[in-house]
Amino acid sequence: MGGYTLNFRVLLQYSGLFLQGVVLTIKICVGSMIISFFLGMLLAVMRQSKSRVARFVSTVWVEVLRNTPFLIQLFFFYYGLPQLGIYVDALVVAIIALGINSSAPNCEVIRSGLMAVKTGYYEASAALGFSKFQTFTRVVLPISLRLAFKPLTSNFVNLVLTSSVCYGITLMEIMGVAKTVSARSNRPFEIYLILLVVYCIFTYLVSFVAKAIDRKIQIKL
Amino acid sequence: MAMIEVKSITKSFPVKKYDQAAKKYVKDTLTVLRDFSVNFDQEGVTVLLGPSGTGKSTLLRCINGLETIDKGDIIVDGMSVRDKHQLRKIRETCGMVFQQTVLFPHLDVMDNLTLAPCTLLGMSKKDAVERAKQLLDKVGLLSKEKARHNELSGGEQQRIAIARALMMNPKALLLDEITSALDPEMTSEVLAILENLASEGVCMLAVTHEMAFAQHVASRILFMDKGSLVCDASKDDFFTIYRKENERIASFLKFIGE
Ligand SMILES: Nc1ncnc2c1ncn2[C@@H]1O[C@H](COP(=O)(O)OP(=O)(O)OP(=O)(O)O)[C@@H](O)[C@H]1O
Ligand SMILES: [Mg+2]
Repeated sequence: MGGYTLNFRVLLQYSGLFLQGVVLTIKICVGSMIISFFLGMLLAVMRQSKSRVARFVSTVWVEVLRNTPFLIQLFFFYYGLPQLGIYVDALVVAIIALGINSSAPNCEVIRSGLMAVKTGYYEASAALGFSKFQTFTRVVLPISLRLAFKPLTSNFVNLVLTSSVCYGITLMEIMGVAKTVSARSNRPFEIYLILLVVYCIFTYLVSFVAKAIDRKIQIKL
Repeated sequence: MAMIEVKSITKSFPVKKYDQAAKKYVKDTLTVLRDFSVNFDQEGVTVLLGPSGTGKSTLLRCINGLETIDKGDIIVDGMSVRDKHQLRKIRETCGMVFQQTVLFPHLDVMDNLTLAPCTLLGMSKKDAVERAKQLLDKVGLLSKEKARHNELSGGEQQRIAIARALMMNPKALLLDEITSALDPEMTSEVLAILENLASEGVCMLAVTHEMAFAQHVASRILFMDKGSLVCDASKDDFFTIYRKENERIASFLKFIGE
């Protein structure tokens, strides 16, 4: 081991910076989770709709996102948008880009949820007098979202991990902080060790909350 | 004027047929009901009999607007099933229960019952719960108020489905072989409920293979074969005169062991 002694004390002075990083990471994650959830839902509905155009748009959207690296998508928005005269804050770009990025896997899992709702449910609601729209909002969507909940949370865990890429657009989220501090303190080993632990805690928290919710809402068909 | 008037309807389904000559599947239509007419008054229990595949379910589904008809018209309580705006009202008038019941899996029994009246009739939650309790009591399942569908037996699910349909206060119940998927014990539970409802004057139009039910509870019997009405008779006439004189009916009754 070359006699390397771990020294976390020298990093204490950066704890405020770390905390800011944590807060920023949480902001990015929560914001993009919300966007990716609703966007994923919209895409899934479009994919299942009768309209060819809607299905086409959704398919292309998902395929493009799934087959390109997130870093490039992020740069595309961060450096591309200003050229179109649209100037947005790096944080907003990160939230939107990450939200769009995860809308693809979310679309897939919500779509499987929708497909698991068999015609019997549509007919039972129709026979009671529900309109197509009411059937969708009152019966089909609640069932499919519950079925999709578990895979959705693993998408969210992925989202948290992917959020580290956002340091690439100058964001001082926790990965950005780590880069900076490691340059200043010359203690990369300790810093990235902390980072690994922090991400573990993040994803553990997501899964923990998810499990608690899942216990409440899980259904059997 | 009858409550349900089926006026010479034609109903066909698009199907794929194997063409021997061309060696491929070609589009075809299967006409299930042809120029079919019948009237129902809001009274008693009408049992609809007939061999498998003759269009009994299709008829009920057309009345409830679950299938669109090609020709003719069905008037339910003065409303045409062709009028999309009346569809909700028609379904409110005719509650329907299917062979394979689906209770909404994300809701417990109570919410399964109250969802439709609260959203569609604007009934207050309190009134709906009260009514639901009465109906659950009627089908003998008051204790299952909080249960989910997977905690109920098939017979219990059907009884809940009957209660759920009754929540809308329909003028008639359309029942499509609601005991066919049940074992004999559960079947008799469900039939007992229906008999009870019939004695309270709930009007029913039931497709069933339960002859005992037809004999005890029905007032009128319709016999369908290959998409047309073979016989429309009172129960007594059906089981005496028609069974003797009509060969199709005689062989059908023999076949199902009556
Ligand atoms: N959606 C559909 N598409 C194509 N054919 C259909 C469809 N629904 C019913 N059919 C056909 O219509 C015919 C009548 O069906 P229906 O379900 O009304 O019969 P049934 O009298 O209820 O029979 P059973 O006693 O077996 O329930 C059958 O030949 C069936 O294959
Ligand atoms: Mg049938």
